[in-house]
Amino acid sequence: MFVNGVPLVPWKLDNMDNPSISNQASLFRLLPSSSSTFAPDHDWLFYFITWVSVAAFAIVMATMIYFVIRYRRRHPDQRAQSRVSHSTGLEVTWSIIPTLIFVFIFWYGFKSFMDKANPPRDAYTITAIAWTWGWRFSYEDGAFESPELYVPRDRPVRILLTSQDVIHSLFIPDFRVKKDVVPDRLNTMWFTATEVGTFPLLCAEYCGRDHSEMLSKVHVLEDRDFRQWLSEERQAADMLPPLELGERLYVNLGCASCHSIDGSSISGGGPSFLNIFRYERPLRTGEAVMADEEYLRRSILEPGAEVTAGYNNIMPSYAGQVNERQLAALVAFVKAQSDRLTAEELEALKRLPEEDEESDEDAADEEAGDEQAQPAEVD
Amino acid sequence: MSVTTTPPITVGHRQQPSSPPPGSNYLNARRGIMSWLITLDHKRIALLYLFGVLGAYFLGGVFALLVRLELFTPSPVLAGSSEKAWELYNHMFTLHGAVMVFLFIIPAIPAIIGNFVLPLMLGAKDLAFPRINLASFYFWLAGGLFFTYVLIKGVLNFTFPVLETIWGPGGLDTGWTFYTPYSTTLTQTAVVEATLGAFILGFASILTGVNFIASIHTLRPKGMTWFRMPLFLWSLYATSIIMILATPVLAITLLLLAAERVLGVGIFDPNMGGDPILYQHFFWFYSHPAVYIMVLPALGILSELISVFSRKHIFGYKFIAISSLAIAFIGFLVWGHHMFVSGQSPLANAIFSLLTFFVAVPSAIKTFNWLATMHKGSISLKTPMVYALLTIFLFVVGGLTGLFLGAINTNVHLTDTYFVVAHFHYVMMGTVLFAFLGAMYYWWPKIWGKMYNENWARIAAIVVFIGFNQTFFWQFIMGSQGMPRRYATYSTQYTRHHQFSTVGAFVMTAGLVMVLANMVHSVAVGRRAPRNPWGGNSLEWHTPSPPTTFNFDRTPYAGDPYNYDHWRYVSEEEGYVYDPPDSDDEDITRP
Repeated sequence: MFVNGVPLVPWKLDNMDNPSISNQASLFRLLPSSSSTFAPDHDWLFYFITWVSVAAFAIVMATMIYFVIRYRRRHPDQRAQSRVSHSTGLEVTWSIIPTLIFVFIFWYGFKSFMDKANPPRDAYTITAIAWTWGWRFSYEDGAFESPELYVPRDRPVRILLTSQDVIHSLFIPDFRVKKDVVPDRLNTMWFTATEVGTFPLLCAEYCGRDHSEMLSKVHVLEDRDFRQWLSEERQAADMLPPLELGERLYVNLGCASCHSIDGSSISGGGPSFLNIFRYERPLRTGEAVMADEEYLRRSILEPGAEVTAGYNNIMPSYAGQVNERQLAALVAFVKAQSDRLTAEELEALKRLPEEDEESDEDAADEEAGDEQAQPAEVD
Repeated sequence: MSVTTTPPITVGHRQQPSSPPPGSNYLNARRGIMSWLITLDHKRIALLYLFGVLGAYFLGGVFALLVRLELFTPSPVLAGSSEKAWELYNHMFTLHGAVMVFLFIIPAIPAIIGNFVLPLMLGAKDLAFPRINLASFYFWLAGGLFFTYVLIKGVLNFTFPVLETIWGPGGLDTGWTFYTPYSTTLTQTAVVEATLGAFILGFASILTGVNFIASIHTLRPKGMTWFRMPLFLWSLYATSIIMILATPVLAITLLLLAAERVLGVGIFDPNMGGDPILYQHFFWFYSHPAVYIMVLPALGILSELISVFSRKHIFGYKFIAISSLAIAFIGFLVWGHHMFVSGQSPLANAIFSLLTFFVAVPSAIKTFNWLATMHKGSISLKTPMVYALLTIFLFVVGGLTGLFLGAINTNVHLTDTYFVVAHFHYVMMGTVLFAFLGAMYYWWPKIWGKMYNENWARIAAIVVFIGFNQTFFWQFIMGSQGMPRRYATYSTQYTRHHQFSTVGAFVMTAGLVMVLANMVHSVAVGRRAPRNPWGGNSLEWHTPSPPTTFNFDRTPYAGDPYNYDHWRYVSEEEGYVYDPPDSDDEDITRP
C-alpha cells in the first residue's frame, strides 16, 4: 500500500498497463475485464449490438456482392433486366425492421444507463480532484487524500468529481464508467466493484500536454482490508510530523509534476523548490522579495500574486483545498529544501508539535518507520 | 420519361480526336492568370476550390502521418524528450482535425463537385449569384491563410523560441473542438487566430449554401419538378439549409471564445462566472449538423453513381429525396449525444439518444434503396462504381458502429476512446472521401474532357481501401478495450494495434499518390473524353466534355434523370450516344 513506498510520480508509463488484459491476448479482445456490477448489462448490450451489426453487415455485403456478380454488365450496351423503381411493401418492411431494432437498443441502453445515473443513498462517498495533470482522491470529508483510488469490493461507492482547472474525465474501463470532471461543477459517478485487484484509471478528456500520462489506479480491496487501509491512512494523516506530511502532500497534491526539488526546471511547470527559503526571489515584475514563510504561504494560496521571473502563472490556487495543518506542512517541506535552514530548525520540522508529541509518539513512529529511510532529499 | 437537350445529337456523331479549338470550352475560353482569379464561371471557381481544397487535404494528411508516426511506439518519436514530443503530438492532431474538417471535408463535395455540377444538372448557365460564388472562394482562401499563419508561426516559434516573445504564441493544441476552459486559459497557442480563421471560413459555407438554395429554387429548367431533380441536388439542397442555419451559431460561439480570451469577458470560464458546458452545447449545435454537411452530399453522389452504373432507375426516389431533408432537420436535434458523460441530465440524454436512433433510420433505408437499385440492373464496375461500392462498405461499418455510440450505456464506456475515432473516420473519411473520389472520377471526363487510366484507377481504389481499413479497423478494438483518444502515449497492450494502424496509414498514402498520379497523367496526356462515357442521363451528360462557358447552347428541357432508355453505346465513340426514337410520345420533351 502506499504508506510503504509511494512512487514519486505515480502516473508514469510503467503504470499504464491494464493487468486485466495480458498483452498477448489483447489483439482481438473486445472488452476489458468485467469488474463492476455495471459490466454485465453493458456487455450484454455491447455484444447484442455487435451481433446485430455483424449480421446486418453480412447481409448487406453478401447481397451487394451477389448482385454485382449476378447482374454484371457483360457488354457495354446491356440493359437492366427490370424497371421496378419502387415497392411500397418492401420499403415499409425495411423501414420498420430497423426501427424496431433501434428502439430496442435505445430502450436497453437507456434503462441500463439509469442505473449508472442514480447512486444508492448508502454509497460510500469519495471526492476525486483532477488537475493538469493528475488525480487525487479525498476520503472521510477531507481527512486525508490519496493519489490512487482505494475502494471496497461489493459496496456501492459514489465519487464526487471536481476539477481545479480544465475539464478532465474519469474513466475506469474495467468498470465501464466514465464521467467528465468539470471545473465549478460537481458531477457524480458511482459503481460497485466486484473483483479484488488493481485497475487503470485514466483521463478521457483532452487536457493539454500530459493528458496521456494523467493516469492513476483503482485498488479494489476486500471490505475488511479497506477499513484497515482507511484507519491507517487517517491515523497517518493525523500523526505525521510536518516535514513528512509535507512530503506526502508534495506527491499527493501533484506539486511534484511542476516543481522539482533538485534544482532542475520542469518544462511547462514552475520553479524548483531547491534553495528558495531565505533566498532573494526575482519576480516577474522586476522587483525582488525575500522568501520567508509568509511568501511561501502566499505562493500556495495566491500563486498569481508574486510570480517568479521567467515563469507564467499557470498554478491554481490551493486556498480552500488544503487546511491549515497541511499548509504549514507544505511550507515546512519547501523550507527543508533550502541550505539556509539550520540543522536545529530541520530537526524541529521532523518532530511533531510539543503537545502531540507525548501522547502519540509511538503511533507516529510505527507509521513512519519504513518510509523514513528513503527520503534523500530531506537533507 | 427522358430528357432532351440541345444541341440535338445525331446518332453516330463523333468527336474529333484533335485538340479542341480555342474558345470551344470553358477551359480554353479565356487565357491568363486573371481569367482564373476573377472568373465568374462556376466551373472555373470549382477548379479554384479543387486546387485549394486538395492543398488543404495534403496539409491535413501530412499532420495525420505525423500523428501516426508518433503513435508507432509508446515512447517519444517526434522529439527527444517526452514533454516536447507530447506537445508536438497535440499540435499535430489538432491541426489535422481543424484543417481536415474546416478546410477539406466541409467544402470538398459542395464547393468542388457541387459548384461544378449543380448548374449543369439544372441546365443553367451558372449559379444564381456568380459573384457571391467567387466571394465564397476568397473567404475560404482567407480562412485558410489564417490557419496557414497559425501553422507557420508555430513552426517558427518551435525552431526559434525567441520569436514567441516578439509575435506571441503560435500553433494550436486545443483539439479542433476548442473546448473551454482549456482553450481560454491554459493553452499557450494561437487560439484567437485559429478561431478567426474558422469564423471567416463560415462565410464561405454560408455563401455557398445561399447560392445553391437560390439556384435550385429559381434556375430549374422546364420539366424539372422538385421530384424530378437528380438526388445529388436534393442532398445539396438539404446540405445548404444546414450550412445557412448552423454556421452562424459556430461563428458566434467562436467570437465569444475569442472575446473571452482577448477581452476577459466571462462566458465559458467558471473563474469568471461562465459555464464550460455551455460552450459544448453551442459548439455541437453547429458541429453535429456539420457532420451532415459532410455526409449528405456523399450519400447524394452514391445515389447518382449506383443508378447510372446499374443502368437502372434509382429505387425509392421519393424516399431518398425526402430522407435527405429529414436527416437535415432531425440532425439539428441530436447534438447532445456528444455530451452524454458531461453531466447533462439523464432526461436530456434519453431524448438525444432516441432522436439519434431516429436519424439513423433513414440512413439505413438508403442503403437498402441502393441495393434494390442494383437488383436486376446492368452493373458496370468502372472506377466510380468501384468507389460507390467501397463507400457502401465503409458507410455500413460507420453506421453500425454508430449504434454502439447512440445507446447511452455503451456510449459511456466508448465515448472519448479510439472507438469514436474509428467510427467517425469510417463515416467522415471513409464515406465522404470515397464518395468524393468516386465523384471526381465520375465527373472527371466532364471537367477536363479527358479520360483517366481505368485499370490504374481501380487498383489505386483497392489500395486506398485496404490502407483505410488497416488504419482504422484496429482502432475499434483499442477503443472498446479502453484506449482514450488524443493520447500521445499508451499502454503496451495497444502497441501492435497502433503499429498496424500506422502501417495502414502509409499504405493509404501510397494509394492516394497513385490516384493523384493518374489524375495528373490524365490531364496531361489522357484520351479525349466523349460527351457521355457512362450513360448517365442528368443534364450535364447532354452537353460536350468539357462544356462551353455557358454550359448549354439553349435552355434544355428536363425529364426523368434516371431513365437510361435512350442512351446507346457506340464503340467508336467509346461512350454513350443519345438516341431518342423519332416518334416516341414518351420521349419528346422538346417544347
